[in-house]
Order: sequence, then structure tokens, then C-alpha cells
Amino acid sequence: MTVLDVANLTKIYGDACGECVDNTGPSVGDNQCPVCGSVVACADVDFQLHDGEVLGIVGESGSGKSSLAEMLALDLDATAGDARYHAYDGNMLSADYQARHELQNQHVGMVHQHVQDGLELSFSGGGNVAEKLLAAGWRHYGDIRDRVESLFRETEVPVSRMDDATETYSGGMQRRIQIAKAIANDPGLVVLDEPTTGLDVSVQARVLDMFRGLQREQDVATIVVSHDLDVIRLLADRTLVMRHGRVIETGLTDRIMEDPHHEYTQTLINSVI
Amino acid sequence: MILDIDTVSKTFEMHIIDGKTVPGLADVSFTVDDGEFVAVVGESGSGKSSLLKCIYRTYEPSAGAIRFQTEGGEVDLANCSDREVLAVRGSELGYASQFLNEIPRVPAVDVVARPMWEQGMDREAARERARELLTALDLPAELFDAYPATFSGGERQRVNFARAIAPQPRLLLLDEPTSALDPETRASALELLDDYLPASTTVVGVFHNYDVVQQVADRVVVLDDARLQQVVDIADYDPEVLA
Amino acid sequence: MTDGRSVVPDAESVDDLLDGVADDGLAGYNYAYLDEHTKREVRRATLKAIALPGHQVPFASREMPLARGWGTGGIQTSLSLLGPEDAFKVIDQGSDESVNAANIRRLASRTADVETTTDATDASVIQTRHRIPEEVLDDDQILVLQVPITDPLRRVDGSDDANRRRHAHKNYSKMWVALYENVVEYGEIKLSSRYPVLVDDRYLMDPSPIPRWDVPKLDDADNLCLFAAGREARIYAVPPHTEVEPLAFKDRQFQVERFPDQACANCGSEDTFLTEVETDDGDRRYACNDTSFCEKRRANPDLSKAHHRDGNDHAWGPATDPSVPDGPTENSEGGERE
Repeated sequence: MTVLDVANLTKIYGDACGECVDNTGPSVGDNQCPVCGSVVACADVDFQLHDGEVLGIVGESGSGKSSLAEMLALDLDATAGDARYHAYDGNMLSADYQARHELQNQHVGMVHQHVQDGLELSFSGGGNVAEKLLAAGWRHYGDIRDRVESLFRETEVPVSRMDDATETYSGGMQRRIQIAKAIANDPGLVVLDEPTTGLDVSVQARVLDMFRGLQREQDVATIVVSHDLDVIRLLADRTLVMRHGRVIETGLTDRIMEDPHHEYTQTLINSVI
Repeated sequence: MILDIDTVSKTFEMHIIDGKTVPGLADVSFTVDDGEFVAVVGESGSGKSSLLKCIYRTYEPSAGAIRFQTEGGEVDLANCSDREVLAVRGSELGYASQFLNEIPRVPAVDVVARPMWEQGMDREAARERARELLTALDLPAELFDAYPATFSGGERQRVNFARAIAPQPRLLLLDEPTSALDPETRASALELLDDYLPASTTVVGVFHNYDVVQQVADRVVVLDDARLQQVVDIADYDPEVLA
Repeated sequence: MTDGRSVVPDAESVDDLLDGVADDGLAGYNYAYLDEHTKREVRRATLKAIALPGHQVPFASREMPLARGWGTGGIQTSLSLLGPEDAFKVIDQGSDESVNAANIRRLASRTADVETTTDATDASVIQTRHRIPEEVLDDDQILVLQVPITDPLRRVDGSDDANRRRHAHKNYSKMWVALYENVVEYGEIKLSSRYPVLVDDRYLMDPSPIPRWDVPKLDDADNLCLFAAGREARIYAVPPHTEVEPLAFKDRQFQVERFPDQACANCGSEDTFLTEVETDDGDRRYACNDTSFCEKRRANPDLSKAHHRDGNDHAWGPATDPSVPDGPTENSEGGERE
């Protein structure tokens, strides 16, 4: 089943002159429009995501991948494009605030690159996770506690830390809390934006492994955005390679890694140290 | 016939060396029957690994067709969608690469168990079977819960081998799965292929060692410089002549 | 005075100056102190607030002859409502006799020519700080509550901008998390005052720093409640017979203050909101917070809170409403000062 069908997704920062998309991209070697100076973060992105599938989006910084992630998580307005989510009638990119909130609470879980975008650091870790449940209408304290506790177990955060302020958590725990929050309401789609950035290497591996286990178990469709090829390799079934705001190559992740076709992809794969 | 490899070619265009074109496979054709064990042999660089990777679609063939009879019908692995490939991988199509490529800091037993639980097996049951496989491959029990990154080459290869055969795929691709094993362990591995995999399992494997080929293969596919040189029954195979 | 003019050119002392204006009295002041445009503006905001129960409506809060934070919003609202026929009562935390209450009453009596009263059942307009009278209010009475902090969400987020957006979309999950964390910490919801309530299943409202004891009185009341904040320039309202629901969990219910085994030292009441007072010789005792009702109870200990109404069945706070659950323990004082 198709969970998400994205067509022509475009984000332009600045007052677009109408020529921006034609004047930018890999063929030009830039994503800033020479006519009006607008920045084309991404343009004409198309893909489909099936249930249980993990789609990787890889590219260097400035390639537009984070804008793409934020638009799909409904945190950023799209300039143009169409995104059909299976449980929403219509283009979810043009959902009004109310519908958008409902989608974010119930259907689309986001794990932000910057912890302060995803968590309220003054709340307890448990409170952060509980917020999702409360937003979805949970009103029984005991049930909320039980659910939060089981989410802590699933994401391998010590339950004993549940009531401590989130700012006292390690970076790895904060990332896990974001994941717990993202999956709290059994969403149909999870978006991970640079899930390992800022974490120690040893912690990165454990977070990825934990997420992969959860993802497979719950069969939740996932989009993982990263500049880190290892993250993509370990999580993604299929991968989009982005550059200058365009998707330049798509394929099975192992195929992209071992048989890259596009010149840029070959450079990217060969730059790994 | 389970697999029909039909004039498959693969060329690599190396943009970073001025668009130089490197041939990987050229017009390779052969078929594999159900339950057959086919050994792929040839010099280093003759295209053996490329052939397996094309079948698994880690390499995207440049031309030709790879028709695979799955339980759900025929799939052309050279031309079908990525998603169809993903659907076939796992229970239908398994692949053991030469090198273990896994998430760091995952215990060996979980590395082996994961493909099984990803197919819906209970976690503990999968772990139990993983332990059995690793035991059969003479991996010391104290390593089961250790991280493979710290293992020797031979130990890692055993983990990799166990992982590939664990889900019992109908078509198993093996890329030099025993190259780093001592003769005794290699014997255990080959024995395990026989014991653990159902008799109906089809295997296409790359092997360097003539004794191994002799022991396991029904037929031999000989590659030379990206081309198919010949396909012969094991009885007619004479490595001295061919080399 | 650059042009050299002075109000009283021949004054030699402050007393002289005061003597010079002694006869002016209220000459030059409009009826009810505020000019008519201001009153109209306040009434418009009031009507809008009534139309949108619980929604904070901005109004052009004027400078008043006392500092903001001392009831200026309440005074402007009361003065915009009062006419010569009205009877006006002012209480400050249950007391008619506090300096501020007395001054506000005097201002209204002088400028608006209204009767003043301390009897909650006689008043047509009651201005109050931090209490709702013990006696049941009727549909011809208006309660004006002074409000220090208008937005209940400010407890959880200092950004009014973000909070207004939350109100617009009825997004109160952050407040719910605060309640969740409160229960984590104390085992129950422990907010002593400013208990957040949901009005008409739409807007989250700060009921002003009334004790929890008074919160149930807002629900389905016969009277109109107006909430006014002069400093923040906001008016909001709970119209008569509007549902007002304190936020709580299904298994951690809203609780009012309890005074186990305590009765008012003055009148003996056990069904009123009591405050602990320390006497001159250091003893601690409990007494009714609502002093005017306490007076009545002293004269007539069996006086019902609905004695002035037909029937005695109207829900009005804890002791008259069996549907409000009994809390286990604890009492805590209504806290924040303006």
C-alpha cells in the first residue's frame, strides 16, 4: 500500500521570479536563482513510499534534504507540490492548521535534528512523550503513565529517568525520547532528520539499531534524511540522492552505494573516509 | 528452471575518471534449475562477484534479463522495480557478501537473528536458531553476544554465512563464503548448507577453492574477462585445463 | 508653566492649594468617572467577551487614579456597568473592609451615585478580588473579577504570541503536560489557585486567583461573570449557564480545598472557605473568608447559602454540590498577589 505519494514538491526561499527552477539545479551547479536571488531549496521532487518501507534521502548540506524533511513533517510550508498521505483526504501540504496538527499528532512523527525543535527541555522526558498522547486526547493519567513507560522500554531509555527534566538527559537519550515521542501514537509515517548528528559514534550505532528494530517491528513507513552514508546504508531500503535541490539519482540503497550511476553520487560515495 | 540469465551485460561508467567505461559482464547467459548448486569460477576480476551482484540487483545490469521464478511468479531482476526486488529479497532471494556489513555494536547472535525476525519470527526463537547456526559453524559460544567488529576475519565470515542462510531463501547467492575459514570450519560450513537448507534450495556460489567446488557443485559456470567461457557438469570440469 | 500662569497664583502653601479646590468636588468629572466613549468601549469589549465565552478580548484600558494591578480593569468594567439604580458591593479576598475594597466602593458611590452594600444578595454588581461569594448569585447579578494574569497558558509558555495561536486552535496539550507533571510530582493535581478551566468546551481560561473552592461555582451559574485585567487590557466572560470544566484526569480528579474537622471560629460554619488566621496571642484558628456571610451566619447559624432563593438545590461550590468529589486531604491558600 502506498503510504505517501509526493509529486513536484518544491520549496523556494525568497520572492520567486518564476524562472528560479529553470535557472538552478545540478546542471547549473547552484541553487540560487541568478535572476532574483531566491534560493531553490528543492524542486520537482517525486517519490512514493510504501508501508514498512524506509526511504533514505542523502546529500551534502545545502542540497535541500532538510527542507524536504520539514515539509513532509508539515513543519515547513511548501512553495508547490502535492503530497497524498493515505489517511488524509487531499493534499496534506495544503492542510489548514487544525488538520495539520491532527496529522502531526496522530499520523506523522518527526525526529528533529536539533533537540530543541523536538523537545521541551524543561519538561520531564516522560512529559515530552506524554504530550503527544495528551494532544491526541488521552485523559487517563494511569494509562498515560503505562504507555509512556512502555515507550521508554521500547526506545531503551531507563524508566527510572522518566520524571527527570529532559535537559539532564544525554544527547543519545534525548534522541531516543524524540523517537519515543514520534512513535507514541502509532503513526503511519516517521521522518528522521539527521538522526545521529551530535551523538557519539558508539551512541549513534545503538540509536540506529534501536530504531531499525522498532521500525521493522511496527512496520512504519520511514523517511530518513542524512548526510551520513552509513546512516542511510544501515536504515534505508531505497535512497534518493539530492544535489542543488534536485533528486539526481534514485535506487536500492545497496545499488546506490555499490553501483552509483550519477557523477555526483560516485563522488559522494568515493569521498567517504 | 528457477533462474534464467539472458545475455546480461554490465558496464560501469566512471565519471570520476573522465567517463571511462569499465566492463563488468558481457552477454552472459545461462540457466539454473530448481535445487541445483551452481559454482561460479574464474580468475580474479573475471566478473564473478559482478554476476552475483547483478542477480541480487546490487548492480543494475546494463542490458539483458534475469528471470527469477519466485513463488509469486516470474520477476525479471534486471528490469523490475526496486520495490519488486525488495519484496523478493529475504525469503526468496538471499545473498552472502564477502564482507560483513552490519551495524556496529550489535551482538553476533542478533546479526544472525535479525533477518529471521524481520520476516516475522519471534525474537527469542530467532536468537535460538542463530545460536544453533553459530554453534554448527564452530563459533565459540562466548562470542555470541560480542560485537562482530572485534572478530577475526574467519569469525566474521562465519557470522556472515550464518546470517545469509538463516532465513532459508529459495535462491541463495554466496560470494566466497568460506575463503577465510580453515579447512575444518569450511567443512562444517559446507555440511551446514546440506543439513540446514531444504534440499529444494538453489545455490549460486562463487568459490576459489577447487575442492569446495568439487564437493558441493552440480555444475560450474566459468567466467573469463567478463564473458561466459563455459558451463559444464561437475563431472566434466577440469580446472587445470580451463586455467 | 513656562507661560508663567499658575493654578492658584497667590497660594503660599499646600494647604492653600487644597483650600482653593475644596469646593470643586467632582465638578468636571463625567458620571461614573470614565468618559462616555471609554465606557462604550469597555461595554463593547464586554459584549464581545460574552459572545465568545472564555476568550480574552482586548480593550483600551485607561489610566485610573490608582496603579494598574490594583483592580483597574475591574473598576473600569464596574463603572461602565453601573447606573444610579444599582447596588454595588466590593470585596477583596472575601472582605468588604480592605482598604482597596473600601476605596473602590467610595469611588463608585461618589462618581456614579450608586448605593453600596456589603450584602451579596442585595448587590446588582459585585466587584471582587480572588473570591466568589458564598451566597448563591442570581441571574440579575453580575460578578466582576479582578484579574492579574489573563492567560492560563502563560504558566507553560511565556510567549503570548504562541499562546494566542494555541487558543485559536484549541491546542492545550502543553497545559495538559503541566498537569501531568504536577501529578508526577505530587500524586495529584496541586494547583492552589488560577486553576485552568475549559469554558464551553472551547477556550482554556484563567478563572483569576480564586481558590479551587470557588471554581465549581462558575459552572452553569445563573449569574454573569466578567473577568477584567487593567494592566493586560483584557476582558473575558463566563455567561450564565455556561459549562466550565476544570482540567483534570479521569483518574486524578479536580479537588477543592478541604478543612478537615475545622469550623469557622466566629460563626461555626463547616461549609465555607476558611482561612487560617493568627491571633494577637499567637493562636491559630480558622475563620470564614467571606466576612459578610460570616456575619449573617453568626446571627443565624443555619442560614443556607441559597436562603434568598426559591429552593435550595442550586449547585454552588463544594458543600452544596454532591457531584463535586471529596478530596482526601490538604488545604492550601490562594496564593499570588497581583
